[in-house]
Amino acid sequence: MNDSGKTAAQLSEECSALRDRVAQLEGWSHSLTEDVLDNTAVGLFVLDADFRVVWVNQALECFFGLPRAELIGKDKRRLIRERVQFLFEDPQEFVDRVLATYEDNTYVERFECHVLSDGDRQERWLEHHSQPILTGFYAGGRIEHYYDITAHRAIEGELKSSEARYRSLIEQVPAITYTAAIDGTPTYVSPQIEELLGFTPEQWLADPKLWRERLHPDDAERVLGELARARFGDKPLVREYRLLTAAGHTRWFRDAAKLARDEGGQALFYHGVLLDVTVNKQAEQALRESEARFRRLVESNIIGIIVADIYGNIIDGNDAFLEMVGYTRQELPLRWDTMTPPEWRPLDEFAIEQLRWTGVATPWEKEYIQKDGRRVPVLIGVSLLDEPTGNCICFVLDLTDRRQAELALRRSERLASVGTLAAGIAHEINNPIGGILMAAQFALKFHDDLTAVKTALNDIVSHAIRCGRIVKGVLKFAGEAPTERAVADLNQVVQQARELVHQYGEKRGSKIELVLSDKVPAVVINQTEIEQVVVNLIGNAVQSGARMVSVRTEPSADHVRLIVKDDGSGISKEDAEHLFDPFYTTRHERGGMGLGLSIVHGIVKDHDGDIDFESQPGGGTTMTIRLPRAEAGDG
Amino acid sequence: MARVLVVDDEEVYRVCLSRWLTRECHEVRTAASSQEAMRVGAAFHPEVLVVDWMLKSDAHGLEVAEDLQRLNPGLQTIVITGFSSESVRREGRHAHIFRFMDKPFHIHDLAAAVRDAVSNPQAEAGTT
Repeated sequence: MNDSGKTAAQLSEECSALRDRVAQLEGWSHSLTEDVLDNTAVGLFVLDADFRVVWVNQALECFFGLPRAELIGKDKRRLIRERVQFLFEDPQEFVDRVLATYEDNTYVERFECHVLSDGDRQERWLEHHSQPILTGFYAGGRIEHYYDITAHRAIEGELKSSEARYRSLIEQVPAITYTAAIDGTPTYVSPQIEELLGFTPEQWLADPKLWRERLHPDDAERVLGELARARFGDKPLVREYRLLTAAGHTRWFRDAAKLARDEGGQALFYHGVLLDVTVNKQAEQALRESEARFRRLVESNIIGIIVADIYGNIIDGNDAFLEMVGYTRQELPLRWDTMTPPEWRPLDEFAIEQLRWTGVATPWEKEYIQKDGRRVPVLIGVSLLDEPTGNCICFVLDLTDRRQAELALRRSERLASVGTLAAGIAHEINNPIGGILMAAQFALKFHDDLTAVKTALNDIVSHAIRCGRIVKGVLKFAGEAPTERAVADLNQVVQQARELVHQYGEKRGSKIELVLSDKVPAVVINQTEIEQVVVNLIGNAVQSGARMVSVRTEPSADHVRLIVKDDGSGISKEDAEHLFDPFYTTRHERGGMGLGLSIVHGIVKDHDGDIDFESQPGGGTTMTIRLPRAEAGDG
Repeated sequence: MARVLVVDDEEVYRVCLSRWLTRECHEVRTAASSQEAMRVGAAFHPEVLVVDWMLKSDAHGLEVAEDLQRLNPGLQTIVITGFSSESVRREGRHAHIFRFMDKPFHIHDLAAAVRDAVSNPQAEAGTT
């Protein structure tokens, strides 16, 4: 060194230059610490070899909520024990981990710690990062950084919880969720696969060919073809096919798959959902079958079928219906209300009321007016299809054939009863005619004997009258004889009738009792006929061996009731069926003609009344006749 | 010439037949009911019975015939009836009826039937 050779002036100049240099360096250093390090977002501790705090930056002051003045120059170990540890959620862990670095100041430590909020201090997550200072002025010391990772943690947490949410969602739905690589290799499959297909997710992922193998043979070609042709766009590719479960059962699935792409449109992977639609498919199948059956029924045109609404429209109808009413398909829609004769409308109204309440209407008979104005009798049944629109499905049966059959049956019944009638008439009338013939021949033979002739003529007269009476009875039954009616007191008629049969009853040990209500309103009747009704009923009661015959009159709502009750032998079930048939009698052997009750029936019907009976074989009979009461103006 | 019992509930038949057959030299009795017929028949021992099929409010003509046949073996029965259906005739065959005669009939025919029953007593039920 030859510094000694320098002049004082030179030294002084050098000194001044050095001072400037130092000042410059100090400026830099100050700028480094104050301007740069203070402004970083990372919290900093700088410790010297004795682990005394040399410097902290502003970020740290903020993170820890401690002013720099209270930290600089302090022993960091004491600081931690006395103050700093209490900032953290888990103080013990913080103490253990940080102090360990001071024990062995050779390694880099890194951990996350959680600062709790207190006063101005905010809660945050910090990543502690520390390392030894190996060179320079603070060699042997340590530098500690704290990175604020609060936002990062929050995002991470959200991601985790959202993934958990999705996973749990995915694993809850009754469907298999899957992802697959671009080459089709499955990468994820949700656990439902085990329940639905009988394979565990592990089994499924282990064998990339499994899906192909489990495809139903009838679907394989179609599904694989669809897949090969598929263009994955924004919308998922939806296919329906069957898979065979591990146990070999068939299940229907709806497979909706999408191709995930990155922002540049590059294909990443497939993801999709396999929904078990077996039940839907079965229902669909059942529906299809039932639809097919229904369609066959409609198209078979065995019966008329229409779709109508409750407001009068016929929206659709099959050919059978159209033929029934004489319209063509082009004329649809039709209106059932205008096609219905007015007298049938109340029944339609009633049916609609039923539909509103119960959804179905009891089949009823009505008529439709055909296009040509003629009427067709039908039986119609209706079921409500859809409540808001009032649409109904109806079957319509043409009753024309049945009506004709009924008519034919009635005709043949009539013929049969004409046969019975003829036999009855023959039987009944031949007796007096025979008497007339005999008396006439007798008179001719004994014409000298005037007494004999007179007797014979009398016989002829009385038997001829009898013939006339029988014919009249027959006509009455046939409803052909004219009758004259007037307002009458039924009680009086009953009393007169009793007079006629009183003796007859007494002779046979029957007591005839009258129970006549004085509240019985007037009736419009042919007195003689109603008298005959009462006589016939009492006569029958007497002949049935009754000891007591009670004849009662009573008023009812809009009728008058006439009740003849006896304690005689009653009516057998077999006889009950023929009770009102003409010439049906249980007393043939005893001269019964079998016209009594049929005449009663005819007369009562003729009076717009009705007749009913109750009887127990051996337990008497009650005949009840109802006659309409006279109305004002009937007089 | 025979003893003839006429049973009919109608007077005109009894009166006319009785006098007519008496004129033909038969001995004639009449009855209006089955009871009367039994009473008369028991004492009279008729050879020919003319009976109405239906006796009003009373026993059946066939019953009268059967009862009287028991009392008087060889009794010939002629049934007169207002309406002889097939079933009536079947019953008659069973009960040994000599002849059925449907009303109205000629009184001469009945008289002839009585003569036939006496002279040729072979049951011939089924014809009139």
